[in-house]
Amino acid sequence: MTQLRKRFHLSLDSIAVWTALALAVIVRLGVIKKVPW
Amino acid sequence: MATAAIPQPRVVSFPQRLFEPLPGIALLAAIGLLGKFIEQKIALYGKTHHLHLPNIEYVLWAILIGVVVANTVGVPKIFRAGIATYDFWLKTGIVLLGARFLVGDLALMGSVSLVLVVIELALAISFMTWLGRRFGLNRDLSALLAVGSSVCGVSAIIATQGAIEADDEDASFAIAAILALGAIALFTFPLIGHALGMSDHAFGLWSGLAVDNTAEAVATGAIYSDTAQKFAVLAKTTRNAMIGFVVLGFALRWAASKATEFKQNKAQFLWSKFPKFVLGFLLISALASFHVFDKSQTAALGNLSRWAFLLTFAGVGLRTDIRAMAKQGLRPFVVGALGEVVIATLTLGLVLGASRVAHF
Repeated sequence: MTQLRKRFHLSLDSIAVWTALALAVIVRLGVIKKVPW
Repeated sequence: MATAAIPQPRVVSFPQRLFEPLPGIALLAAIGLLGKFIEQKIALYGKTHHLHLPNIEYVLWAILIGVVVANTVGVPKIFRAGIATYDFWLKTGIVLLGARFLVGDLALMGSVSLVLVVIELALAISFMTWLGRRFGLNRDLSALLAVGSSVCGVSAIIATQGAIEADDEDASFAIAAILALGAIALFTFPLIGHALGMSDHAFGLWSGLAVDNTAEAVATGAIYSDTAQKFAVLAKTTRNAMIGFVVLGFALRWAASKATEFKQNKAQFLWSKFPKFVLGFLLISALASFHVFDKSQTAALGNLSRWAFLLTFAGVGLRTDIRAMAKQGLRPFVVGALGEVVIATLTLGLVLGASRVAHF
């Protein structure tokens, strides 16, 4: 992951934020309707 | 003519790098799920046999299994890249947890947290610096322990090490002490919380204020309850947001004492040290407050956050290396332990006092 981050000049924080936002969009669009726990 | 073999750097293709973390992530998921399975089985056993068994959250099982695996059979190399992603899951989980906070609550509770965090920072930095001096630790190591115990554990220590140009050895001493003490807090804090009959809200704030590393602080809250985990995240995130100010303060003091000039732009320095995932957390919280997500979508985001934390907690156990901690020597650990006990007691007093005033 460190190498990937360096390759794309991304910090771990920004990858985490973008991942979470992507998941929020997916949930908002209804692609994922229910997440079991 | 014989030529000496020159070791070539390992050439790894991009797709290989992409797939490298997968075995470790699968191991995190397996250990986390095993923790969940044990929790459910014990609850079911108690129910079918009409026994009042204590509910031990999956968090504790996942951490314990991780510790046992890492310190007995060890972690094969193939899993290491994936296990190192635990920090990514932690931050993703925190950002997603923003969906369960409304901005109004965040402002109210955030300001209570902020006041407590500022008091905690002042007390912890002064006390740890004094204690380090009393025990004859060098100035750099005392500073690293002070930052580690007052702000946010490992990342604060690494940031400060760069700023004050401390030795790697001092940094690894401080990191080992902070991680060992975080591991102890995981088991002792919930017992103290239950013994004192603390509310979920108060316990969560206490965990967020007194447990140093973010993963351990969130896990300590989660062991107590879901609500306690929420408040532990809030208090710990507020503490994390202060990292830039504290590191800048140390950097300026060190530069002054060495009669050198602090060359960087202060605003840029603060921004570079600011944990950006906090902004993601606030953004998701703002979206939730403006009803961008309906009730079921908020629940789905909350559960996604839980899955991210499940991977994190397994990682916390797997990267706990008891032998490496024991090797670091007793003195920094004693200073860290004494400091932590005092800081934990002071923050407990602060939280209990605040809970009386603010009625939580």
